[in-house]
Amino acid sequence: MGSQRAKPDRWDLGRALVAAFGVLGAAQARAQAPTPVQAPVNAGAPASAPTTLAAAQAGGSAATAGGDVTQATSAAPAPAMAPSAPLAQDAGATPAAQTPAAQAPAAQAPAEQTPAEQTPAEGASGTPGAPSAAPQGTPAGAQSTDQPGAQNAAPQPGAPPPSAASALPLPAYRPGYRSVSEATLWCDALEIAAPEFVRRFDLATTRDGRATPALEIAAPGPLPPAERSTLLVIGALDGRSLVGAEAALAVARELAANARELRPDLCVIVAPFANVEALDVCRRDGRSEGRTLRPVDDDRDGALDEDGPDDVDDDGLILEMLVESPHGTWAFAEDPRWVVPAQPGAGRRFLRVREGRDDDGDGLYNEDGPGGVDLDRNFPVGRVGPWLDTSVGALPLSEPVARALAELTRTRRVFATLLLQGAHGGVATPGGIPAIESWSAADRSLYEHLGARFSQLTARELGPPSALRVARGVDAPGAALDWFAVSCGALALELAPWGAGVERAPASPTTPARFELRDPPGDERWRAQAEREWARWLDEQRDGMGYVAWRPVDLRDGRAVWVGGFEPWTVETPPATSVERALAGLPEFVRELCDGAPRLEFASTALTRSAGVVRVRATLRNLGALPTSLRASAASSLVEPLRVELVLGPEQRLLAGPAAVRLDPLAPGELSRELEWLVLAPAPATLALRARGGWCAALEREVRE
Amino acid sequence: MSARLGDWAKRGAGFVACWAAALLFASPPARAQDGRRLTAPADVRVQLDLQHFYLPRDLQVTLSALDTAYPEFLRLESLGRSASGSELWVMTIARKEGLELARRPGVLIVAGLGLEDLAATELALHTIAELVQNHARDESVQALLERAVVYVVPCANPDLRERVLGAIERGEPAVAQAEESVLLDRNFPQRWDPLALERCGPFPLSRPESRALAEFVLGRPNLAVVQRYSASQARSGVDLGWPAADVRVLRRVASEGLLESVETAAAREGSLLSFAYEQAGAFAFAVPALARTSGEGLLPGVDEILPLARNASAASLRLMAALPRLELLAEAPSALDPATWQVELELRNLGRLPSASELAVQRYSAGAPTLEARGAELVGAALLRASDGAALVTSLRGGVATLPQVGGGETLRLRAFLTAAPGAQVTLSVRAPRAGEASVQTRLP
Repeated sequence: MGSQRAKPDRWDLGRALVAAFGVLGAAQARAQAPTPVQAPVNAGAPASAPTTLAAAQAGGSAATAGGDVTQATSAAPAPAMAPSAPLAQDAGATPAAQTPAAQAPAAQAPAEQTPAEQTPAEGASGTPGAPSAAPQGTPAGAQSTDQPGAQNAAPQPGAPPPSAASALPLPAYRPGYRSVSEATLWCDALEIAAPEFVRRFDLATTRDGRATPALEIAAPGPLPPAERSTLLVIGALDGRSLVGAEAALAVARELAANARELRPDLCVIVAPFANVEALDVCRRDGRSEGRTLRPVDDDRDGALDEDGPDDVDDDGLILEMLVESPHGTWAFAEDPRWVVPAQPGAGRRFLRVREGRDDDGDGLYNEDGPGGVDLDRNFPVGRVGPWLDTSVGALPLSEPVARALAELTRTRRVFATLLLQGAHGGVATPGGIPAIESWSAADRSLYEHLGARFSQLTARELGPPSALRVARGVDAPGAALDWFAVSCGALALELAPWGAGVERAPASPTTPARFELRDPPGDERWRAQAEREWARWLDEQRDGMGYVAWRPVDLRDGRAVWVGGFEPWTVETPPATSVERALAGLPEFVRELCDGAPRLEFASTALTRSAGVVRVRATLRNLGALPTSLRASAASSLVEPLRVELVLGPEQRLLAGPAAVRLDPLAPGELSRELEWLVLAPAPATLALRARGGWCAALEREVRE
Repeated sequence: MSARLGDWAKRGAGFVACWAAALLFASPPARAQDGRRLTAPADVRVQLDLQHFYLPRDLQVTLSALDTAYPEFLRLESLGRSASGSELWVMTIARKEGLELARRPGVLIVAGLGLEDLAATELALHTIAELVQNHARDESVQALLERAVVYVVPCANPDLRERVLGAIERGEPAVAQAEESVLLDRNFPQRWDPLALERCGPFPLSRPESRALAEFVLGRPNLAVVQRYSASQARSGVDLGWPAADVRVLRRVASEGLLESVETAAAREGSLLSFAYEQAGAFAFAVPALARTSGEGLLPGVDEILPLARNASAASLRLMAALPRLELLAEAPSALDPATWQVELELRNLGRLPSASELAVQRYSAGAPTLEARGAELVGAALLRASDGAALVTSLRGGVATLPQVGGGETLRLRAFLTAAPGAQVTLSVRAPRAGEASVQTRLP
């Protein structure tokens, strides 16, 4: 686990941060909307072509790429511009009627107060007795520094609260995009505002020395954090889902604001920007490959990162590129704005790659771009060898963050891990590879229950959760989700804040984000179908803007290619104006998961004496809304089996019954079988029962005669 | 037995220290002379006592004594520390003069990884001694030390050894101390499977010992062979999907050397040998020296150690003799024009192992052999096909030609095209990361 940072002068730093966030907030509000890169011109298809992607797909590949060169468009909403032709007209609604609806909440939401403007009560989100309950107008820092030894103290969450409230308002969370540095500052401010509940630490340090911020949030209580049931929230480990990182910040804010209401046997660790290197690229470019920045020789030609993407048509965007090849698996649809999986016998076939030249002259395009390891493929379960894919890393957990997450789970009782990432808009369950998908089927009903709650709280129309490989449309060997489930025995879920159906207009017949897949994962058809869903979203919510139709480009090396595809700030990373909708309901879901963590209680204990022999009876109940552990469990699981031990005094002797009884996992509310022991004990007898294991914090009950 | 072990453990440390001190200041060791090597005495500068088992602290003393006594051959380093903080020692054995060690073919011997080879530490010590003591009287050992490098990790799991031997020394039951929650030889990444394996750890390389070993293996591209002294874990009838050429080599070398190849010895999930072969592409073997001991319990009897060690060292030396060894021969150059020359070459691999395993080639873990020229510019190279003599062009980049791997006992016929002034002295060299180097000199007419 990461080290505690030095805190030279926390209160002065706190005031500076709060002042800075007043400025930063305003600056962010200006900067968060992606800059328009090119004005839209026209999105019309050739008159002879079908105007819907569905129709085009049904027609298969027939048309050649037309010379009807369309445009790159701005990701930002532009109400003054004329609506473009629908990208997917079969959605059945006119863009003009739908466009403003989903954007309205973001646009009309009242501007949030800066932290400096907040009253203490607002800062605490109404939590009575929260750290911001100091008298208004009194400088909180002055109060604290008056106390001897308070300046450099590093309070541990879970420790008794200081006698005087720290009283800095919690920093507000404003939906938008932050850089890693800004997010780190925000986390610092959260800790400073609520030091008795929040501890900021560095989860890991990247190879180039950048810290990965993390927060530990817990209510005061006697149990040390390491012995509490722990929820691990990881933002954007995949390095692509910038909105997942923001979702983790929003979750941290919600939990910190109501930390006093957290159960005292619970601890939450949030690593909001888990992949700092890739996320900074994502914030800069609107998308990323999700890989760390350590150079890797992907094509094994002895040169590092020498053939990456380029803007070959000088339009300011790096999109996708079609290169004609007999080995290609894509072909133009009848509507040449789109490509579809090539059918057998298709005339012109194309390879689909990122936009760029063959910089190293080896006949391949962009096969050795910047970056190294994909953190979400660096975990050991089902991992492929580095000889097949260099992005998995030379060894499992070779990357500092992946290793730190793994080490963290060894020191904590992790009951659930939430990975906030992905662009499927729903809940994905363990199953990056078929074997793990089968393994996790034992807990299907639990996943379905949680999926339904996620759907309700986020107001999304979602089907039942699907395995990771189905949600992503492709196998995901080495995924963190599978490792957390299989090897840690944790309830592991991938929650995707963003997806094609997240901003669905109420009256839209658009298929939900978890649309039905008729083809096995990995097939190009899946991708084409997903693109259709994204096209509908653009049509309904963004006037069809955000997609550049394929157009021919001369690479000046004797080859002509086609360039097009979804613009940045659309598919994997939504525009800043959509972040609020993407995050809606997520903090509430996490909060509900915390409240529902399994909790043990001795439902009954009885002690009856017959002469010198005492008969002890007990039953155990799970008071949580989650089971005490998964049904599926691995041999090397870090989760101990549930067991009850009888703790005897020095003059007591166990006559019958096992000293420790192992129990099956308890479902929510389930009562265990009655446990019974015979003990030789002089009167009056006092002994103890201890329950531990599963995802639960340990419990001890004294039993007296 | 426990009392005997304890006594011997105490005696051993003092014994080694005395010998080391005495021999360090004694007259130079008898050097073998020409023609009389078989009767020449061994170069014994440290006397090992293989009548007891070494506690980790005694082992450290002994290794340091060896390192001090044979500075021209040995280098003792630490790979890292075990979970409880003990050093993980690796002894590098090679004659330090000559070719840089990292460019010689390497053999890694790992002992004492788990309970199954707890006694292998003494066998590894004996192997170190065999190599350094016999360099002057055994030509094969001398040649090996000059052209190869041997790395020996005598005790990869010092914590387990300390617990077990400590318990024996204290007269306590050792079996209870032998339990490990994570078995080192199931903690390597290759086919690590928590659903199928027990005690494989929460994640691969979760133990510092396995991590240090894995990093050592991956950090040495010259490693051609990894070897353990472990009891047989034979599996049969398992199709591992390995290249047929490698399987043939593994079986042949194993049968010739009375070894077990990785295919049968330890091709199981999460093992060191599987990792060494499947990820690093090094040929991996086990010397089943401890499979047939008469000792009861966890260790063989102390009187069995020396005979076991002799057999084990002999098997290790047979394996080392199979290492790839390149030889380059050149015919007289012929002129194509006044400044362009053609030289016919023969590249032989005199070892029984190929210059790299087929799997290493497939998985990019071993580089290809290369041909370079000094004193002339290499402007082209061709491989002459054995069947019909057709010249196949090899790739050339920056004056370096890339060659195919050379199988054990195979000969490649090559043709090099050079540009140089008449009368120039030209040196042609072949380098293979796991097979060392070979050079030949020729003078242009």
